[in-house]
Amino acid sequence: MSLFSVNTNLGAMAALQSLNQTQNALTSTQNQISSGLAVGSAADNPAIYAITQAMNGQISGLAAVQSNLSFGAQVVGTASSSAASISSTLNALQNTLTLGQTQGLSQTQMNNSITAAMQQVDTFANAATFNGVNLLAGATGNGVTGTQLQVLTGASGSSFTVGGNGAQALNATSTGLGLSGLSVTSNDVQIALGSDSAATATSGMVLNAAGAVAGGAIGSQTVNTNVVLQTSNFGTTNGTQTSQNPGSQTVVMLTDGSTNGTKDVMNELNYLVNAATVANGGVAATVGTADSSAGNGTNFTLNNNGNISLTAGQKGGSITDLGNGTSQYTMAIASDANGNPTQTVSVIAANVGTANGVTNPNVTVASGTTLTAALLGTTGNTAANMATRQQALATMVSAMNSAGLSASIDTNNNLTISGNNINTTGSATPNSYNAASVSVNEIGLSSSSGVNLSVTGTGGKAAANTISATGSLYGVQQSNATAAISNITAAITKLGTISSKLGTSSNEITGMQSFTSTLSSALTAGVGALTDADMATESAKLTSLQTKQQLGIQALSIANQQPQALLKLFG
Amino acid sequence: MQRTASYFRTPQIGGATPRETEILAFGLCNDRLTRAATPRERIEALGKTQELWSLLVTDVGSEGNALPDDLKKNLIGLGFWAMQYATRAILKELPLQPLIDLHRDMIDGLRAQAAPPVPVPAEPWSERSSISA
Repeated sequence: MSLFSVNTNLGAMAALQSLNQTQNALTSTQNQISSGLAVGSAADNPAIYAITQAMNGQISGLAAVQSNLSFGAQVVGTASSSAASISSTLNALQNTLTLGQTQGLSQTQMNNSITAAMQQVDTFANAATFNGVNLLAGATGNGVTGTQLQVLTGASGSSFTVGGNGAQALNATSTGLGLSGLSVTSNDVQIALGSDSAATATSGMVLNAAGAVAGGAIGSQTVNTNVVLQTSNFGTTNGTQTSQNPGSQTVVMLTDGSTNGTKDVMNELNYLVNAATVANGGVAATVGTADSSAGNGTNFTLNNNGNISLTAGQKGGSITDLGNGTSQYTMAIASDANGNPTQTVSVIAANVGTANGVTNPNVTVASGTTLTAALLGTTGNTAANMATRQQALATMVSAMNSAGLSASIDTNNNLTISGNNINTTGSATPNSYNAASVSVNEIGLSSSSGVNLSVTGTGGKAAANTISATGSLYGVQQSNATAAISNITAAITKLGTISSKLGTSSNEITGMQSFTSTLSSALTAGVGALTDADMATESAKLTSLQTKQQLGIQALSIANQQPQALLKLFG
Repeated sequence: MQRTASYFRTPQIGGATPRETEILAFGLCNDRLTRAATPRERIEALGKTQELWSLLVTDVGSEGNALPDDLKKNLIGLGFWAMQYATRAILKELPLQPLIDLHRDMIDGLRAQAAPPVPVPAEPWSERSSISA
């Protein structure tokens, strides 16, 4: 019998089977969803949806925005994945060197590890190139045509930017991470802060607030004065204190850069007070401390006439000639029940000739002049001021760490710095790094010009602090790759900053995704449930099965307007 | 994973009908999505997916597209979902299976009617040879 039956038509059978399977899957998915989703089938809502001409433009516009977001995601995703590889490489290298220290790996072995790792880092950074855009290379060239990515986020042309050009480019190469020339014999740089970092600075090194005296009426003058704040703690038990041995002593010492100068300590103090006043926004500055108990306090005030005035409650002041042209003004500012001073304040004029005998000292003050941090915004050389300076140092160390340096202060009050391609041998070429709201100048060694580290802090009157040093800064070769390891730590921190920027961009792209979701669901009313966060995938599955069914009874292709456009996918 | 040059070569699509080309395109994406072994390959596969749906949605949304409106609505909804999912999957560790399943459905739907009348094109594709007469 020769019957033509649909059941014996192989192609038709396959199609039917396909449709049946679709129907089964559809039912099952619908059961899974059960409720809450308004995914209408064609049968439920025939023809209520019509694509208007106005929508046509919006759909292609939105598709273009989606493509742009996707491109951005591809660039950022490629960079993130490379950054993760770089991070692994650096962590592995750090482990190798740390183990090498304890297991006695030779310098050659460790240096070979370093060289190999640096090559890997650079390879990963270069591999982050996507369509010419590289967010880790730090510079164009070598197949990289751009280091900045602009992502269009709306059909209206709004956009956001990732990375930057030139110096603003993200740079995760070995050089960009501050690892150029890294070896197990790399040097640290150390700055000796003195035996009491809060209070004492060694000769030639000054903790100061250079930025604070910029501008203002005294902005054009110059001074050679260094102000060094010292505190000393003596015995504090009542009864053992004498006028020569008070409970605590605060010394403000003026030293002049030139020996046997003719500077008047009073005038120099006067200028410093002026500078501090300007820095304080015109509020008259005083240097001193006061005992708050009534009748007992002494205010030690430097006024604009260059006089030290002692107010009520003073326990007497004295001027002592210390020899070598150095004078010391001392006054007790608090006393115990026996009348012995428990606190004194001294001003020492060191190497400035006769303290009171010279007028018109020809001392000028300029921006960049050194002022003790504790003099700014404080009313005395108290423990609180010491804390302020400790705080300033801590701020600076933290800022340096954020900027990709590895900085720490050890128990001997040595500030040790490494990383960021720091120059430990040649002359200083300061580069600025931004770390949040602080800027850090790179330091390097120079026999003549010295070194400058400046940190602009985030607030408070002693926020602007600079450490400048001449002569007391030195490169230290640490044994056993110690400097190299802290260098890598700094690089990992810096890489973390880059990764977090990429993460922010990822979030921004994801955020824009939600926005375009809203738009596209508004356009395709009824499929809005597709954008529901939890149900999206399940709901897409349902629509997908429906669509499969619809396509199965449809002869046209999907892209029946310009079917040839699809061919470019295969290129 | 090392890819041979032939992996990226343009497939032989001469003579294919538009529906067959679309089947190939979905198949291409699924192949890439399934075989992506490195982050880079994964990103490229998702980029390809995004590109495919962008082309489809743009065409479906254009004025002269002759599909019925309810099918258009579904395709546009799915297209935007797929594009968004693909972009999210580039930035986050999302499973790729939902996209692969979607493409499988599209292939199956297209294939149900793709069996052409005679003559059968000279070039056989593995996807369609299994159901064509």
